[in-house]
Amino acid sequence: MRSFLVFFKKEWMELVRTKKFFILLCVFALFGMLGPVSARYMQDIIALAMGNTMQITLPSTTWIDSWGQFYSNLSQMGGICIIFLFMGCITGEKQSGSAALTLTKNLSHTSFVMAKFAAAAVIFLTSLVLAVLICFGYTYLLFGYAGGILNVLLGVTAYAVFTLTLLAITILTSAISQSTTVSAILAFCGFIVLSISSHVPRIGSMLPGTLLSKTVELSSGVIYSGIVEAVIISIGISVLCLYLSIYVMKRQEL
Amino acid sequence: MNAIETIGLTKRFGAHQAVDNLNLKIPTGSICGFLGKNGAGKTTTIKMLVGLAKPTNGSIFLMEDERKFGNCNNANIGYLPDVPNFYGYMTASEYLDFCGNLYGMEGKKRKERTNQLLKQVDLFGVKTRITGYSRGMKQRLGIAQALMNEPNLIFMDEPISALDPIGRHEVMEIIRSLRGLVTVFFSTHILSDVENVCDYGLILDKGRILADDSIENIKKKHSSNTAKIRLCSSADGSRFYSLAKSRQGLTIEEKSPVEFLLRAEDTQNLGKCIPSLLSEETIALESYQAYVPSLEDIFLEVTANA
Repeated sequence: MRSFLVFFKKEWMELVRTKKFFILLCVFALFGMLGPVSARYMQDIIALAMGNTMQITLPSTTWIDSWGQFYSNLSQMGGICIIFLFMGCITGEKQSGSAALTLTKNLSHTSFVMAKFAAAAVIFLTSLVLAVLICFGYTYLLFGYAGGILNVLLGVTAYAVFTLTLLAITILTSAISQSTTVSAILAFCGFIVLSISSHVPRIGSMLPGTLLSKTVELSSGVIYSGIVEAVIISIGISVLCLYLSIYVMKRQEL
Repeated sequence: MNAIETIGLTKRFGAHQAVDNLNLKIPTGSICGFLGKNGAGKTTTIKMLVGLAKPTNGSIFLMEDERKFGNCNNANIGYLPDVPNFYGYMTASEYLDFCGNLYGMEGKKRKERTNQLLKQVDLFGVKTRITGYSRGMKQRLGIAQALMNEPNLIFMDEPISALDPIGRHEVMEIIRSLRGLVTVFFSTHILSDVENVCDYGLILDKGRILADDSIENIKKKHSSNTAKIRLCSSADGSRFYSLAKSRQGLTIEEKSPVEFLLRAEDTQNLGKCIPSLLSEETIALESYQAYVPSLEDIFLEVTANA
């Protein structure tokens, strides 16, 4: 446990000093602002763009559209940010040789992998909480209502579980790859498979992709069947990925 | 007790045999110089010993504990790789503190040890981050981190390769100061350093051990069949050279027109050959002495014969 905490502290220092934490915080905060603003002023923006040449009648936007915009941005760019920031977290250390030095210092492979995941998860969740608070505040300011706290929490939890699964996949691709490029390609493949998993016939509603596609419904209070199963399966995939990462690291020559 | 013992240690990379059936017994407390040409298998051997590479065959025992790849206890081991790479965003002091913390050292002791080692490797007071360090500074930090946990056994892969002559001298002094306290196993290309500092030597070529003994014994083994003779005139020299060259079981090396190095297959043969050659042509001998070869001579001889 001690070596886990020591390595977690080192990971935290790395994420702060290499500005990864700051980047993720800024990107997520920006999405938190962009969602409500673009939902509120989308009609005006389209009208300005079209000028007087075309008459289009758009339905008026509500606070639900604000969350819709927010999650639409996060579901793509949020995932891409996670992959870009963490695709090299283990391959980088293997390539530079720093992993070889650290792992000959009484640090177990389990602590090595788990501390990397934990530190990345903490900065992701911190950034997400900040983004949700900003989105909630702006939605309230622009629409007068931002949804029930419990529903918003449910939506955020679904998104967080999905992204943590993506993070675990990225850690695994980084553990099995010898280069950051290969790790990135594999992680992107994992991201695509996770995202479209909701379209699998019959069992799609229980797969992680559903957590991403139903965030807006959950935020607006619509509970659908299969969410519990989707959460359990996502956690199961994450645990499996982390277990495999440790397994691979133990058998890998450095 | 042996600090390092390997039985049939072998490593293959596909068809390439990097390390071939290595049987080592390195006594505790010795400073062992590990010599070999580039590609001889030194780094692969060290990596297997510290648990970073999986042996294809064979067993490794460090301090009598068997090592299992993927599950090695390194609490009493220090390791310096050939090109050490650290977390560039840390300072040297932060990095050593991190290492000490991983070994479970308590705060006060960690700080004291960090300062002591930074002074020892001349990095005390350097506040810049490691990313801005020269290769020599990184090498010195590498030595400090290998000593952080006060290990019983230290592996160093070419610890002096990136250092200037002063840095090299200082590192060799650090290694020398560890004699008797810990076992040091280090690879190098600088044979004179091994000769000056080590009490045990290993010569590896194409993954096989060619010499494995105390430096004294290695030298003894290779000096008993070599003699240096000096003749009275250069005329005698040229006659002696052509005569000795034609003699079977004897090799001659001309050091000067009157000075020669003679090497026979065994000591007895050398003792018989020289007087008979001299008497055959009535050549006058000025001096005769048993020749103690340098480690470099031995290294060149054994690797050439391999």
